[in-house]
Amino acid sequence: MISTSSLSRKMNPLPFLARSFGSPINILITVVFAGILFFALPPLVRWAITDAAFFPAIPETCKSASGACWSFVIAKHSQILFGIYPDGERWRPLLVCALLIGMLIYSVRPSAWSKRLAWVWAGGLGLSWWLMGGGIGLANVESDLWGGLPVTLILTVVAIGLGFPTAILLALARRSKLPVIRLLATLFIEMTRALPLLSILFIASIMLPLMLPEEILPDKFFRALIALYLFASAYLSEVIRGGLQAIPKGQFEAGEAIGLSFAQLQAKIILPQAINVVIPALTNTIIVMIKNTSLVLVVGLFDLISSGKAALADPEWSSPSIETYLFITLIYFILCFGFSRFADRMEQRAKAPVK
Amino acid sequence: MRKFSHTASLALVLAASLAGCSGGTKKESLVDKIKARDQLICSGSQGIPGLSRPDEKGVWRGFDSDVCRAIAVAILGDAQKVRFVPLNAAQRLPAVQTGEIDILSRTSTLTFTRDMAIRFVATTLYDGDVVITRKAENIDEPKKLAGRTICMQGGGSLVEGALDELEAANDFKMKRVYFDSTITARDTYFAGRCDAYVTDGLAAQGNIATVAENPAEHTTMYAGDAIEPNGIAIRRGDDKLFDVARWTFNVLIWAEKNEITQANVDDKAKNGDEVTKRILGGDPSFGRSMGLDPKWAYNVIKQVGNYGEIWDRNLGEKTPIKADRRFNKLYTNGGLMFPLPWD
Repeated sequence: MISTSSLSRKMNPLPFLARSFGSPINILITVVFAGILFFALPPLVRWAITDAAFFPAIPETCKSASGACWSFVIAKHSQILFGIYPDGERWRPLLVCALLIGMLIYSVRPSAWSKRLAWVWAGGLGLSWWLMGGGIGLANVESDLWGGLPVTLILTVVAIGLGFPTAILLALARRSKLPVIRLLATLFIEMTRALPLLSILFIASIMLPLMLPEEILPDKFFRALIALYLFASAYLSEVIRGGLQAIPKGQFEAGEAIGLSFAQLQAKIILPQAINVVIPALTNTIIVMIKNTSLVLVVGLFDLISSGKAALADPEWSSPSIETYLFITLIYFILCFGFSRFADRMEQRAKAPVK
Repeated sequence: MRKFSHTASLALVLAASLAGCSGGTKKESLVDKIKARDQLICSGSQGIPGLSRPDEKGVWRGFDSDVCRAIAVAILGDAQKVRFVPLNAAQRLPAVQTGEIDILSRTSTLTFTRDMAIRFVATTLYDGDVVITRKAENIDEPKKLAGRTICMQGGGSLVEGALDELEAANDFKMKRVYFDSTITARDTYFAGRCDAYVTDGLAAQGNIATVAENPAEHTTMYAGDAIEPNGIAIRRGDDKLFDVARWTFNVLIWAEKNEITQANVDDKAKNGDEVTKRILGGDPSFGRSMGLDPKWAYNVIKQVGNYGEIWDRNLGEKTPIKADRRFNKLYTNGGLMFPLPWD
């Protein structure tokens, strides 16, 4: 977004008015959109702000208002954000959300990209785990009480964070000269891609418990997490393989010629170029994965959307679904848009001339 | 040949010991497990008004949840010692079969097929299907639904059956509009998309009371005479847990029949008739056969209340649900609920 807007500013230095009314076509477009805004904006503002119900956040406030019922979102925000997590302990998932987002922001800065980053992530995930689940000084909270935003964030971050390295290995394995490794990687990728995510989640949450003894069975949350991780790694690996295909053969040969080992060759020459090539496709897959996490609602996990739905089941309120879903939409938008901005920065950096 | 027979006998011994192990684990009742972990694990849902839904603080509210609490009190003496695992409709049966939960109490209709997979203990609620329509459109009997659109949740075989019967009996067709949840179907009807909305009888009055802009504009009728017995269920082959669940539920009905409530249970335990005093803790051997505390029944009423109190708290006139108690009244008031004798 930043790049296109800054690009268009560079290409088109005309002032706003000249751009809006510069040519007959521009005039037409401006008039049509101004007309749409003129008719759509006032009722929207009336519904969302002027006539809307805010405080006090009780059902009666909404009954007397003709606009949006934000009182519901205000009264239920904690339930929508944290699901059925025990009330007194909700500072813990809040901290986990802050931690995960903080880690993401920290990792965005290229100066942070070193071996230390791996330790930051290992530490951060361990800390999140302890905060969510408890033990050592904190009350135990079973994972089927986890809910809301932290569940969405943990599922996304872990599925992609672990899926990405796995995907690199799978992509390399699929191009391997060793037939057994190639076959296994191909088999895994094709099998995973041939199944819809929904059915993988169903297998993980309903079929597995019937086949495995309960002693060795991970609980529902981790089964869904593993399913998402496998799915993410299969899809990401094909994207990365696309990048590997784009690297000219000469690069491999040159690397081998100066005596680099396979690992050095991949890590220093091939992968950095390959991943730069596929940043837009990676962004695409990752944003799809962020939204895919909402599918866990079909296996009874309280992610953001399920928590919102559960909040709507309160008979005291007249079920303001639109307001609740708008609130959830806003959170998803911030997550997905934030990520696409991050990817944009990566792309700019990739395009920058090498010093 | 000899070597083979050695291997074969070794395999047989192994298989037998494995079978012995699994047989051993099967014999252990969940009641003992529940006591060992000091917590009952019960089914939650994804939010069903009046029956089971998590509130703002993550506390489960509703009739089905309170039935779980009653069983937790009977076994562990404390209504707080229960954990609810949220389950959707597809997961609830496997969750019982695999031991993920101890007790299923989540709007599950007792049917033959299901009873072959898990074991239904008692019918806690009798429900039927209700059609909501607008008075202005004058749909006040099933016949007038001919050619009308009806909003409903997809995947409910019993609702489908009730509508099929209705259509066959009156020789007409309705246009069924399906939604993934009954809440979406409901909101869509009240937004004017459909001429009618079919839902559980228990939910119908509450829907009109809370969602409709003008409740007086809507009316209800029963869709056929189908009855849906909703019950609590457990894993098959666990007689001990079956006993506890069945007789705990019986305490709830028995207490309502004998007008024993949370408020007066202390008094009844001291000054009631002989049977009442025995059940409410006067007989140290009462409950021993189930491995329960002699005061288990007293504790259940003291902490959770009788059937009528649970109903009133979650579904009754003072709640927004305002459900029609209909078949769930005591038999003395024309319903189907009656206590089993304690003799």
